[in-house]
Amino acid sequence: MLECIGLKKSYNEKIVVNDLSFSVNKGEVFAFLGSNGAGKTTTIKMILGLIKKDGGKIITDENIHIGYSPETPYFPPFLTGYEVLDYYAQIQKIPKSNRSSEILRLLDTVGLENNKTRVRNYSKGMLQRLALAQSLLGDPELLILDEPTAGLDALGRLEIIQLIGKLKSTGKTIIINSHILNDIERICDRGIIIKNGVQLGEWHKSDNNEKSLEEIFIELVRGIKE
Amino acid sequence: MTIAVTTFKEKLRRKEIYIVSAVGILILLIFGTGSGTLSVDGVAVTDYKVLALILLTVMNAVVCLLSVIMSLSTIPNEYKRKTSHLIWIRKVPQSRYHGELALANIFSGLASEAILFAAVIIFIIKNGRAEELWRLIPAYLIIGVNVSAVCLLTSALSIILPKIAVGAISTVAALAGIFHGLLYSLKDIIGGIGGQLIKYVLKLVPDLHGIQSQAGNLLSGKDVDIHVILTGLLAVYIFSVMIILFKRKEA
Repeated sequence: MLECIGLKKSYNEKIVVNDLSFSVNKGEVFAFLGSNGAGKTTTIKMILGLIKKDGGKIITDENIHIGYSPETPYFPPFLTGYEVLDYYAQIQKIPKSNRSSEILRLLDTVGLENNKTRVRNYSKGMLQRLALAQSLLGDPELLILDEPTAGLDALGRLEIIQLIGKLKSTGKTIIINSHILNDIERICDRGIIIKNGVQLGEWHKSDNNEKSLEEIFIELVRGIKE
Repeated sequence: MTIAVTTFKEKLRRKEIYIVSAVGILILLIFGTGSGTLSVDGVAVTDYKVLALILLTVMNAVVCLLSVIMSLSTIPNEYKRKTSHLIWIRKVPQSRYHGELALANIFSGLASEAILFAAVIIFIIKNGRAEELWRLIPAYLIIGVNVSAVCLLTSALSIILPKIAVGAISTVAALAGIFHGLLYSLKDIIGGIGGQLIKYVLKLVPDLHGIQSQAGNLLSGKDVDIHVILTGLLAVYIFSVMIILFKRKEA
């Protein structure tokens, strides 16, 4: 579904992503793992076409539709959840005839009620769910979720993880960018660990590892330090 | 138009609109209710035509400067809040996105102008000229050219320059346009490098004073010079092209 070969990006001669290669298969939940400043968000921005890459290739299925949920979603605070989705549906040129039914379906999928509550009164968890809902508009084949559980309490995180699990069961391909390893271990099939823009290693859930993801992560990241 | 309308609605819910209302009330106090008296060299100004011209001059200055303030952050804020990411992934071109945000700025400027025009309505009625109220519609549209020009220039500059630079350049440009006539006379009096500098500045900025004067002429029943308004519309066109041409990189 997605293949990145030798991705490179620098800002003011500082290398942020260096020769990064990985592939994501259809229907899997793939994780980008790394500490803050590892180059995860830059890689995601390159995949989304938000910034230009300095080198390498990004190969995707033809006419692929990508949905994106940002880390800190901002929506006009005076709008309701329904109106936010309607706003993005209009920008996305989703036909008026099935716009309303799709919005109601997505609100139901993410567990938000279609009521008069304004976004300004939403909790962080509700905002993340709304961000997820907007990323699902137009039924994208690939979903990219940037830190979907960041800043949420235990219950909020659980709700998002369950929601991602639900999306996975519908066959969506999902890329998650996160540094919350517990969450990744629960929902992802595979992932790569990066530091300073360099890939340190790969993690597979199916490997029946003796070590937890956290142990693998610390080992790899510390190894680079030493 | 979805982005423009939603951004405009959001702006209506912010404090700028209350500032505009407060300024409008202040102008009402000076010109409309008679609780304030305007005097030049100690002589009270009572002539309707002179008062109408002064009222429009003050209004034009206030609304142009407010347009700078209201247009300053609209585009940079979208990038700062990363709302732009959700637009780019939907394949909306930068020119359309920036254009719609600039349009939201124009809507806000025109809304402010409409609030301030309440002062003119009261002024006209108080002076027993209610039958001339219809003239307010074309006068509103003429000053709207100024508002649009200032909003578009500020929006265009905000795509490529930092906020402080945009604020400074747009304010200087707006003031130079508002005091175009005065500066034109001043350049001959000063002469030298200063005079040359003023000459070049005046060539670069639209004659906002001249355009507003046409609205004044219209209100007081004088002839309107359509060419002056056309130069304002030319400035609107040029600033619109700047918005299409100027690009901004994502951080």
